[in-house]
Amino acid sequence: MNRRINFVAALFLLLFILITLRLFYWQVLSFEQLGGLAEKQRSVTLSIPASRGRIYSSDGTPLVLNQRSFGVVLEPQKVQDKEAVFSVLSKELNMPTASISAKLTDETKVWVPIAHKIDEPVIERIKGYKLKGIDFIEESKRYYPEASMAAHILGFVGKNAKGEDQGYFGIEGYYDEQLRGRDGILREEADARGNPILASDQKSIPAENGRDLILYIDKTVQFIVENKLKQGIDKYKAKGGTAVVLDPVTGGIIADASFPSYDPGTYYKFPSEFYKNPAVSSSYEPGSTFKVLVMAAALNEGKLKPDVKFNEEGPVEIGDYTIKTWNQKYHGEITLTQILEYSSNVGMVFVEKNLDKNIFLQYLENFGLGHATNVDLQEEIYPEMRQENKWHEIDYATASFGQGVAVTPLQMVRAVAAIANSGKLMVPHVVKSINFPDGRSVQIKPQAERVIFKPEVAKAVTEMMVSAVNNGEVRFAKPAGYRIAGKTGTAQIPIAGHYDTEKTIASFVGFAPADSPKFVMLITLTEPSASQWGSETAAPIFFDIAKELFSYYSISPSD
Amino acid sequence: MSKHKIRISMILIVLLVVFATVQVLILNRYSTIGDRLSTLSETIDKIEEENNRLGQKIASASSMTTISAKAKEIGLSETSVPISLNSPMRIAQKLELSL
Repeated sequence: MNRRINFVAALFLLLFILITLRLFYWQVLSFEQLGGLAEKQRSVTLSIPASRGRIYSSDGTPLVLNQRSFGVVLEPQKVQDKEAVFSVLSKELNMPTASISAKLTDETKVWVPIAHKIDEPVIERIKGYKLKGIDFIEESKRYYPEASMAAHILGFVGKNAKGEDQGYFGIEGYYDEQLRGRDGILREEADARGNPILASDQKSIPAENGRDLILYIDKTVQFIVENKLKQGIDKYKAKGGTAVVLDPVTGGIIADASFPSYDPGTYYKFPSEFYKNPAVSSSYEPGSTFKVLVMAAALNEGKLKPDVKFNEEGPVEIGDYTIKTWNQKYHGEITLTQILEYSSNVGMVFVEKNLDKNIFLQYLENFGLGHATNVDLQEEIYPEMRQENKWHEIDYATASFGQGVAVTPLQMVRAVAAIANSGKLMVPHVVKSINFPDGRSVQIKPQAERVIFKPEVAKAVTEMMVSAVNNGEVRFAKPAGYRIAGKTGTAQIPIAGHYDTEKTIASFVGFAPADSPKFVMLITLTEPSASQWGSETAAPIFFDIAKELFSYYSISPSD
Repeated sequence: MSKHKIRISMILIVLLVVFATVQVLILNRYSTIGDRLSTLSETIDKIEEENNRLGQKIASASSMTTISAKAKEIGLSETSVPISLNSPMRIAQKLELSL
């Protein structure tokens, strides 16, 4: 009997020791591992995605919004019918079956991303097939209510090397840090069904949404400019064209259009050379439009007055070179105003000779040549100025009529805007204000870079430009009753050390109404083949747009 | 132990029981309210998404391209030349005429 009792006691003791050891193993030795597993089971960590800032036009209507989209992922271990999955995804995502199957080479992976930023209706269709192994991750993508309008200003959102959204070009690129915001994290305990347990500790870092941007871009003006420029490019059979409209007082860019262009929503379908904004990333020789700036410099130095006479009797010899007028017509004694009216190259050489060489170069610097305008667009470049010791007599002469110097369209239009703005050179800007998610708003104040002309000089040159429009080659295209200050330009394109005689960049720069300018506008056409002259191509486009803008801004005729 | 002390002890015990009960009730409620929170969060997400979608619809419907196309549909045309019914006159000239 005792033996049995002792046996049972020993058995119990053994079991007790085993249970104690097991408990010791679980509670002491495996504490961290099991604790981690338990934590993982009951706690949930969620990423709270920050939404990218939106972009609005000057009237507060949206140019860029966010739209819900989805990433499509495959879970190889759950896929049952590979052929059906490939076929459905290929059909719905418009992807070759081979490229989908190529992504599925490693079947040990838990999930494999197949496509990103897919619209909801497509996702609903895929869900309708009820195939196992296809999953979806919520994402966000850009939505453009105005479609491809202002594409070069806006830029687009693509992926960076880490697979994160990143803005490229234009505003999206320049203000990427402001727009992208910061994702938040929420860590909480959940019950068996995944519902949060409120009594438990909750740790959260709230998401900080991106900041919204309000632009100077006026969508009505942008629409007018894009349509008219496109029609002009087709009409004059040009390879491309650019139009920039500035507010001379603030330096705000009201419209900026270039063709060829692209659709920022489907940027990947367009050649990458279309992405850069030609207004800030291409350079050209401004030709005769530059004459107004050199003329203003000469008047500003007090060396000449608008009524000074010059004898335009024939070509001018400078070293081995001969400078002629564009049409080889010479008008005898003419005033400085008539030099602009006739767009006389030899007349401009006379003007330039009245300026000291170092002062002439100082003015080029003052116009902003050789420097970035510091516009808030990512891809801005600026053509380098020739070194001072490399300027020869002929270079000064040709620069006086805009050949041998290079500018970006934005550099050119802002320098002319200084004439419209009483001589003040403004820093051009696209963004007017930044709105923070907490309701604060930061206004970006207009910034004057320097004063380059005296107000009376700006006024005098304005009158000369009005006269150039009223009495020059473009007088027939000008809308009646309005005082428009402007100047045509036809610059030959330098190719392999010489100028191409056929290919030109035709341009027109001007502002209106001349007495109280509401806008300054530059039109450039690349290689128009219907006519190579700025007066017959770019100027009519300028006036077409100006007519619409007069109506839009309710500007009455003043003549 | 004096009567006074016993009374205080009794009150403390009762308070302890009451607070313990309240805590259990609150914890119980908080622990089971999660599903309501989930439902509310989902509803908020849905409403926000609907709001976004409507915002997009409004933005598209009021876009320049849409308005321009609709204007053409109903026969509106562009004014090629602005028309001014009165030619602007100097104030002095206006006064002269009115006298």
